[in-house]
Amino acid sequence: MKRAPQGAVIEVRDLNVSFASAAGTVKVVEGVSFHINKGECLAIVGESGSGKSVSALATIGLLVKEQATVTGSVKFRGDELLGKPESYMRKVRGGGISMIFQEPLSALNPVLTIGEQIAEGIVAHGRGDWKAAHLKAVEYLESVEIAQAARRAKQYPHELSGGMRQRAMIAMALAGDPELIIADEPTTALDVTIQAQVLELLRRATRERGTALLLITHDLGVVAETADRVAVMYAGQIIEEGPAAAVIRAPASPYALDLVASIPSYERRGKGLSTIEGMVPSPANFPSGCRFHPRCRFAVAACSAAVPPLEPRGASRSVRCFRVDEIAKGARPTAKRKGGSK
Amino acid sequence: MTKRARSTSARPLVELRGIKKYFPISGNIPLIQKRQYVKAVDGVDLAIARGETLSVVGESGSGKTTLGRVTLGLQKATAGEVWFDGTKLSDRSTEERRKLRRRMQIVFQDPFGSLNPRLPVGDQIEEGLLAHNIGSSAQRRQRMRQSLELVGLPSEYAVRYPHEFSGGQRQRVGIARALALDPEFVVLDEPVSALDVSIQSQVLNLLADLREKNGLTYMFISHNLDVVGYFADRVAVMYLGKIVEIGPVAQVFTKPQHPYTVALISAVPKVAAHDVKDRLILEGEIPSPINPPSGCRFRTRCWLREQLGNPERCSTEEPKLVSTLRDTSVSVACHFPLANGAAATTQRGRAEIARAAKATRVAASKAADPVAKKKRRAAPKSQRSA
Repeated sequence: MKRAPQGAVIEVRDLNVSFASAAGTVKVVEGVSFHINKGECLAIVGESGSGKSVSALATIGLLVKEQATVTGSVKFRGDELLGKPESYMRKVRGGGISMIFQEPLSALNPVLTIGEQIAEGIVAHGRGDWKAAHLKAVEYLESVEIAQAARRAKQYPHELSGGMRQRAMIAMALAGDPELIIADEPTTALDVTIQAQVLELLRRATRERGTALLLITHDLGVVAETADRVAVMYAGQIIEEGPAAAVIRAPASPYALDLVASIPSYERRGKGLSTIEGMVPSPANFPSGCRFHPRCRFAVAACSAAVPPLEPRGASRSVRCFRVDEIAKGARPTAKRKGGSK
Repeated sequence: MTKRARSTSARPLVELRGIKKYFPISGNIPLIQKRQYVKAVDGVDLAIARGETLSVVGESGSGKTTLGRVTLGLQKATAGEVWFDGTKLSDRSTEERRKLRRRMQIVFQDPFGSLNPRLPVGDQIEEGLLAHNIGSSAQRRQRMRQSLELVGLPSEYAVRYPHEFSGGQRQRVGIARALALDPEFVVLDEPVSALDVSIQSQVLNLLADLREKNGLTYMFISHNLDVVGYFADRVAVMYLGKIVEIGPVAQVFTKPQHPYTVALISAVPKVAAHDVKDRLILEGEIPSPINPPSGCRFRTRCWLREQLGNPERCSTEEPKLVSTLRDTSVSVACHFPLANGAAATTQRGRAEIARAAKATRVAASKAADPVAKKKRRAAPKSQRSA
């Protein structure tokens, strides 16, 4: 892994998360490292079950301690967060780090007005009394372009539309004046025209406030337009990392290559979609060796024998694949992909 | 199958005429409050040719799902007619409609909610055959196994329960269930929306394969323009219960004429390199379908209307869905359809459109109103503020 520059807002190193289940310990996230600088947006992209959300929750200490074992290092402004008591984490959350969830209706408190919920955070972090906090809440709602903010602040979540609720969530996140916002699928539940509005708001927050943004998504289009860098996750590991535009334009790992090629679009019309056979493995039985090898077009015997390391490739990219050089030179896919394993 | 080969006439397989679907709102005070309705679908005409894939796109609340359900008779239309293969469905007896329904099937969006969790999937596939009294018990089992294999699932899986399958597999079961009856027409209601990208492409390829092999006609309901652009032959863009633009995908995607279509296409995040600043971001949200705006329903969010100087016509007169002289295969419901909608997807193109609009406006006001001189003098100021 590359060294994080001195100014990194957050630096995560060798993050491992495992859950205790009836079948024993299940390792869901393994050896995940990343850093985000001020004003930068890093996207973690992956399919369901890839461990992207769990990585984010572990970063902010939101996994239940009795169920999840988290090891590694999470440094926020140089300050180690792993192992800190809950009281300390409460100060960090909503203060230094804010979180935006996918489904605003279940993330918002249904029995408090929008204004009260935003003000609550401001008061809890000692940034003012209730009266001042209420006024600030309205200001934050205005800053996310909610019309008639004073009236909206008095309404309950169910009275707002989906797009408006997500704006309120962003207002709430911004109210802590955070240095890092973690947004977990912030636009997945929204319509495209509303998604465009919300993404623009997030981009503006990073641009104008210098907030670092960790964006969790499954949508490569959103990554291409919003993120500076991207980490592609598969089965609990980062499989490729680098500048978003470069990774999406010319993916190096077979997984990212096939993922990009399987996105339908008008331009691909009549050309056929490439598919990735099989499905994402469950954490209880991740394959041996490279976790993608049973589905990989380029897999050879070595791929099932050992886990390939995430190795730097050029100045700004890292790839986890034994055959990355051969593939770059135009190696042909190995004949059978399913027969290759076991 | 023989029947399918025979009817090669130009007659559309499915035709909707003036379809309306209103849902009454509960909670009105009787006699005091006027009964209100959610106008989910408000006057839709369209025809789907045999073997064609027509896609209905729109945001949530546009009425696309309701339209699909009304087409199949799962919900009764408030007004309008559904025609299937030359017969009007409402003219038929219940028994005849039931028989016709065998030829039209649906695949639902949610592969979790649309399967019975307490019944092995094989039994669920057979249920349809049983309901239509097809074949003997052994033949039904045989047919069920065939349809499982058709969608790429081993027939041994028939004894498994839905929870034993992944999302993509469940969607395959849903498709197998629809295809067991050998239908001619299938409504696909967001069939890949709940799936991961890599699984989505598998299912799309499967649906394309089946379309080819079985000569299926699809009504493909989706909010995902990328999928539609890839998969459909023609596309109908819906907004607040009405079609605003309909035509071949190749035309609508490259030369959108309705300002809403332009905004919708522009809003999709793209993987290909492009300038995010070119994005056309609509303001506000889709208005309530209880009290849609007067005149053109899109006018409250229309970026073009603003540039045209908010013409009165947009709020007083409802635009009809008509084909334009430029391209007769496309119909648009807009008083001022765009000649070059592709240009409108860039910032520069929109500035160009705005400049042209302003020029015609000034010319028109000069011709119509000699007093407009004063206004013209004041124009530069407003230009600056714009």
